[in-house]
Amino acid sequence: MSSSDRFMSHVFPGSPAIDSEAIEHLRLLEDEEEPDIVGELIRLFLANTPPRIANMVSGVKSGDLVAVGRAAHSLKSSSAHLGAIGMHQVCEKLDGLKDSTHVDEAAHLVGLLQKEFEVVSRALQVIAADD
Amino acid sequence: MKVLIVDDDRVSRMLLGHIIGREFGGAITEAIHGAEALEVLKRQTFDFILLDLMMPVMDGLQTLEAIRANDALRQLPVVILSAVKEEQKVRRILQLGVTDYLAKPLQPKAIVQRLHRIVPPIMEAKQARGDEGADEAVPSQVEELKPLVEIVVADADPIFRSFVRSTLGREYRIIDAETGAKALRRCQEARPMMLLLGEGLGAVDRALVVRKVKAEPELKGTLIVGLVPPARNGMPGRNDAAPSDPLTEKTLTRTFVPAAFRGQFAKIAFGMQTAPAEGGEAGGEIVAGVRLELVSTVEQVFGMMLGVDVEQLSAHPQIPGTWISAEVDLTLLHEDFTLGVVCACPAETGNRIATLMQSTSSDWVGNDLAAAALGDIAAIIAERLQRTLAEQGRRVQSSVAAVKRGPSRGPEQALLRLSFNSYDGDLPFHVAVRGDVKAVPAGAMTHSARTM
Repeated sequence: MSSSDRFMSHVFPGSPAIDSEAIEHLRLLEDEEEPDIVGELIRLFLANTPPRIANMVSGVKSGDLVAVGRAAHSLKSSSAHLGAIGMHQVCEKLDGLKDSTHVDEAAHLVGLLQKEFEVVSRALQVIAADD
Repeated sequence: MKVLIVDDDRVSRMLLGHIIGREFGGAITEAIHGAEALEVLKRQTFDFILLDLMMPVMDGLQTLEAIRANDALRQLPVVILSAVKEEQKVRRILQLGVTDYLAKPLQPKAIVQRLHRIVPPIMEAKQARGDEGADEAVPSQVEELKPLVEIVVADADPIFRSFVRSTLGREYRIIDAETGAKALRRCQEARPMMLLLGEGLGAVDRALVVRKVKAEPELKGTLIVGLVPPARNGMPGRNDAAPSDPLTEKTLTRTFVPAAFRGQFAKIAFGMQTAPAEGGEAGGEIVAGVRLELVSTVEQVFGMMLGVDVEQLSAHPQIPGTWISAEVDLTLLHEDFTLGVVCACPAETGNRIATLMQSTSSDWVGNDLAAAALGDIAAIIAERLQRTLAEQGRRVQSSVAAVKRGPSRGPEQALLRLSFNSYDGDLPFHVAVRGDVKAVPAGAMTHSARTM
């Protein structure tokens, strides 16, 4: 069991927030010349995600679901790369909400994404520290 | 190697940059959207570009359109990143032409495997063009690069092999073999469109090579062409027929005159110089010329639309149960010939395809939706084939996809059969090309439905 597995997903209750297999796949890219790729990717993800979530929050407030979808699409890939399966799932749903009648659903999903990111960031910090 | 990565996601750019640097030692340049990429492309040349589709400011499709509209960049190899569900976008991307795709989310192991398939032909084509110094060249010197189809040249004479490479290397991937044994190995590895078979091949001689290739089911699509000495009184002209060869169905005169060699080659590869005398033979030649492009199109359609990596299978598995199929007819005007592009799969596969295309969470979308999804895929594949045939100077008209549901029957009479499956084996799918000789007046549209 990985040390990050104690951080549980809000999206998939009972499952770890980070799929440790995805991290293991990334570790295969590390070698003597590039010993900390996983750490670098995590730091980049942790730095880039809050502004994107902030864009989604303001998009929901102004009813601009296109802006929400754009930010979600961008975050969807990087979440998956780092094994944040719950974040990926929520971003996938947000990316598909184009109709303004879905503002309430978008607000709920962005709230869920914020909560998920809290546990994901703690789990990733543990992984980066172990690296 | 110089690569431009265009993606608004820094994590994706970093991941791809690491992998390319580690696997190929390439120099990476990054751009965060299409407008920035086009600015970079004005100043530098690249061996290929990795292009995300969903980006702010200028998205990937707009960027690809701009690249293909620019004379200097028209032939730049482009590898698409991310999945596209919209059929219209997939059609447009295939119409504009891309080298390959990498499905998102990026899986490191899969990317490494895929890049090892994508990069070597690009670099070999660059080498064949002899433009190693082009890294420093201005973009207007970017040369033509066509989709690569393999040809194995088996001949003891290294000068002749080199001649073939320099004469055809811009359009085809030429694979050398100085002995018969190596020719067989190269054929098994590459499954080439054509084997050019010369003399002096050692212990595994011409006759043995022909026997072995013909006995190999996977090499059914490989046309064996004998290289024969020129007639006593000089060199062949562009339209002269080569002397016959008892071992092979087709022959090419072994000339060192590029125009004469290319003329003979074109005649064999595409039937460009002569009207088809018999539908099956003409169809076989046409299909041999587009086989790899069809495979690539199927892979790209599945990868981009469904986010599923599929591979071509060497065998044609028969799967019992209800199948659905969709067919689009391509009428070759003035050639009294119709090609039918048939896509077929078990109903369960059709359901999964429709589910993936519609991003629905339903387990079962219904046969009508599944059949419609299959029809969309058949239409996209046929449209790509139609474009290729048009590039060969043929006039082609297409029909709308006719969808048929029925029991499983293999497309035994097809000119070409291709079987695919996903890597986890749960998406069996067939593509076949049929050929019918029939007189169709110019301007006619045909509709047909056939069981497979």
